[in-house]
Amino acid sequence: MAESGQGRILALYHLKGGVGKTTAAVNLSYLSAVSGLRTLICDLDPQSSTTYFFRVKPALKHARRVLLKGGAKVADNIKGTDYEGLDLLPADWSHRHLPSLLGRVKRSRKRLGEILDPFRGEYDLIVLDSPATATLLAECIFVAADMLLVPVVPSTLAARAYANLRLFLRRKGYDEAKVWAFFSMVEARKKMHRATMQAMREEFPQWLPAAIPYTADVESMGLARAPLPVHSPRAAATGRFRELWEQVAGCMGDREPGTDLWARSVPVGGIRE
Amino acid sequence: MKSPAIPETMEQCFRIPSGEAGRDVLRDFRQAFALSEDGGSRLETQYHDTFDGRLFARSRALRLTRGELCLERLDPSGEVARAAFAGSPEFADKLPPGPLRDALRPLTGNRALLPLLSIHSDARTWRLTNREQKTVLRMVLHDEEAAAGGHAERLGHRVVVRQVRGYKKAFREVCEWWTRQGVKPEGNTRFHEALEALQLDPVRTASLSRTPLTVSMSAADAVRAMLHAQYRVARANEEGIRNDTDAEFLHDFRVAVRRARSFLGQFRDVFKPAPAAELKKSLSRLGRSTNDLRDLDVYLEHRQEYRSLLGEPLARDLAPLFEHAARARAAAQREVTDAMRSAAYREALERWRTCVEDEGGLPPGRRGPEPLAQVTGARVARKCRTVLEQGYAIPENADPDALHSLRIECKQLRYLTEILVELSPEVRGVVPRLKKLQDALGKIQDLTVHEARTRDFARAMSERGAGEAWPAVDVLVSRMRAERDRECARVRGLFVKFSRNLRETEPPYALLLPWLRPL
Repeated sequence: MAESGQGRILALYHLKGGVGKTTAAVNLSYLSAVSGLRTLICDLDPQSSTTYFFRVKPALKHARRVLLKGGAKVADNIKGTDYEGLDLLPADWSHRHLPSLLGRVKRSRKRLGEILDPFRGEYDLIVLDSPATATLLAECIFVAADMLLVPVVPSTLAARAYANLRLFLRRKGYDEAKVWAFFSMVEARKKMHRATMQAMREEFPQWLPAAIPYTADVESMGLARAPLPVHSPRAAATGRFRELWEQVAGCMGDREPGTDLWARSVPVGGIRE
Repeated sequence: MKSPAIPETMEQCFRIPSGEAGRDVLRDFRQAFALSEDGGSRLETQYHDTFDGRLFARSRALRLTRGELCLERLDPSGEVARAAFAGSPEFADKLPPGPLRDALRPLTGNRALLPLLSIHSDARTWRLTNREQKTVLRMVLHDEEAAAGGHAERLGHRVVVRQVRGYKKAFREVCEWWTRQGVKPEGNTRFHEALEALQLDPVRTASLSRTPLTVSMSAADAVRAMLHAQYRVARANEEGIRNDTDAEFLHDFRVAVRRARSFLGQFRDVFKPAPAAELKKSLSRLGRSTNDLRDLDVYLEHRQEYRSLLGEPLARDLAPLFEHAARARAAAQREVTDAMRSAAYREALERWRTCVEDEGGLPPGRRGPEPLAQVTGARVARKCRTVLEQGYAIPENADPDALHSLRIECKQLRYLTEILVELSPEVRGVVPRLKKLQDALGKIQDLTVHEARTRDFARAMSERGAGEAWPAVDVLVSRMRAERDRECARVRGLFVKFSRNLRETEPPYALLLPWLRPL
C-alpha cells in the first residue's frame, strides 16, 4: 500500500473478458472524482473502450511507446474529461503490443509502477482499466496496484477463471491481501447466479458486498458515452456502483466511509474554485 | 526517469467592466463561441487567519470552499496544500494529519484560526465542446460580494477561464479573444480586493504595537506614543478575551499592559512622577486581575508535555487532574470577564486613554525634552549592568527565586532593546539572543509555578474525595522538579554565552557599545 498522503493505484483486472471491468473502472473513477479525489483513469486496453466512453481521441500515435517512456511524455498525453477532477490517459490500438514491448525493458515487472509513481503526488487515485490478459502486462499491474479489484460474473466459466487467477497469484507469490472481488452482471432472478455467488463467497476470501446487476442502464452507457451516475442517476445499478465505491474507498484508505480519505499536497498551479 | 511536468497554470481571470460595457462584452463572447451552460450555483468562500494576521503577514491565506480547506500563496498566487475538511477550522493542530497541517502549523503556532472574511459568489458555468461533444474548456462567471462582521461590499463580475487538460488550443483562443476586447488578464486578486473593499487589515493588531520612532524625537513624545500603541493593542484584544476563542488574546493583552508598565518604570523621569505613578499602579491592577487565567492557560498548554514526562500508562491517570485544571480555568475566565465589566476596569482603561490621548494627560518631567536615543541608551546601559551583575551572581545550583528576578530584568532589557531596534535596526540581532536566555528562565518559572499548582489541584481533588490521581501526581511533581533543576543548571551556561556575546565586538553587539561604555 502506498504511504499516507500519496495517491493509490486501483486496478480493475480479470483475465476473462466481458465481465464489466471497463464499466466498473469508468463509474468508480467518476465517483472518486465526485467525492473530491483527484483521479486519473489509465486505459491500458487496446480496445480503448474507456477512451471512447470519455469521448477522447488520443492525440499521439504509438501511444504504447509514449506510455513506456514514462515521465513528461505520459503527462503530455493526459486529457481532462468532461468531469472536473477526472483525467484520462487514453489508449489506442497500438496498446496490443504493450506486453511484447514490456518484455524488452529491464525490470519489466516493476516498469508500470515506476511509470505511475510520479503521478501519485498529482492524483489521489489512479484507476487502471486492464485488458483481459495473462501476459507480462498483467504481472506489471499486479505489482503496481495497491488494490486489485476483480469483477466476477456469477457463472461457471467465470468462477473457474477466478479460481485460476487466485491460484496463479498464490503460486507467483503476489500479495493476495490486495485482491478484492465483487460480483458483476448479476441476474438475481437466476437461481444459478445465486448459487454460484454463495459458493464462491464460501470458497474465496475478500468479497466486497456490492453486486452490480445486469441491466439495460449499464448496457446503455456505451450509447450515452457517460458514466452511469450522469446518464441514469436513479438507476438501481447506479446505487450499486455508489455502494461499491464506498466499499473500495474504505478498503483502500483503511477508513470508515465518509471520513477524510487522502490528505494531499497540491503542486504549484492555478487556483481552483 | 524524468518526473512528469507539473501542469502549468491552467486558468486565467478577467475582470469584467461594470455596467453596459460589461453586458456588451459578455453578449459578444456568447456569440463568438458556441457555449453550453451548465447552470448556476451559489458559492461561499471563507478566509481564515489568526487574530494578528500571521498568515497574511507571510503572504498566505487559508480558504475554505465547499468542504475543502486550501492554503494559498498570495504573491505570486498559487496553492501550497489542501485537504478535504468538514466544519470550520479552529487550530492548525486540530486539522487531520497531512501536508496542509504540516504547512500551516509553523505559520500559525498555537493561535486560533478565526473567520476573517467571506466571499459570496453567484457563479454561472459554461462549457465549450468539440465535435465529439467533449468538453475542451470551462468558464465561470462570478458575481461576487465580500462580507465581514455584518458588513458587505460588492466586488463585481469576474470571468475565470479554465483549461481542460490536454486542450490548450481552445484555452489560448478564448484568452486571446478576451484580451482583444481590451479585458486584460489579471492574477487571482479577489482576496486583496475583498480586503480593500471591506477596509480590513489582517495584521492590524500586530501593526498597532509598532510605533515609528526617530532618534531626534523627544523622550516624552516617543514614550507617550509607545504607551498609546500598547493601549491600542490592549483594546484590540478585549473582545477576543471576552469571547474566549484563543488564549493568545489574553496573552497579547497582558504583554501590552506589561510593556506599558515597564516603559513607565524605565523612563521614570520622562514624565511628572504623580500621574505616571497613578497610571503604573492601575496598569499593575489590570495585569494582576488576569494572572490566574494566564497561569491556567499556560498550565493547560503544557498538558501534553507533562503527560509525556510520565509516559503511558501512568499519564492516563492525570486525566482527572487536567479536568480539574480545565474547570479552574473556566472559573478564572468567568472572573476575568466579570472584572472586565467592572467600573474599576473601565476606570483603569479610561485613565490609560486620557494619559496617552489627552493634552496634558501625562506632562513631561525632568528628562522629557531630552532626545529619545540618549535616554534609551542610558537606560539600556544601566539595565545591562543589572542583568550582568545578577547573572554573574548565579551560583552553580541556582535558586529559582533568584532566577525569577533575573528573568524580570531580562524582560525589561528586551523591551528597551526593542526600542533601540526601532532607532537602529542593525541591533535587531540582539533580541533573539536575549530571548533564548529569557525562554530558559521562563521555562524554570513555569515549572516552579506549575509544580505548586499541581500540588494545589491534587489537594483540592483529594478533599473532594477524588484522590485517584495522587500516585501519578507525585511522580509528575518529582519529574517537574528534576526538569526544573536541569534547566537551572543550564541557565548559567546560557548566561555566560549571552554576556560574552554582549561584551565582545562581534556584530551586532558592537552597535550597543556606545551605550555600554559606562560599564
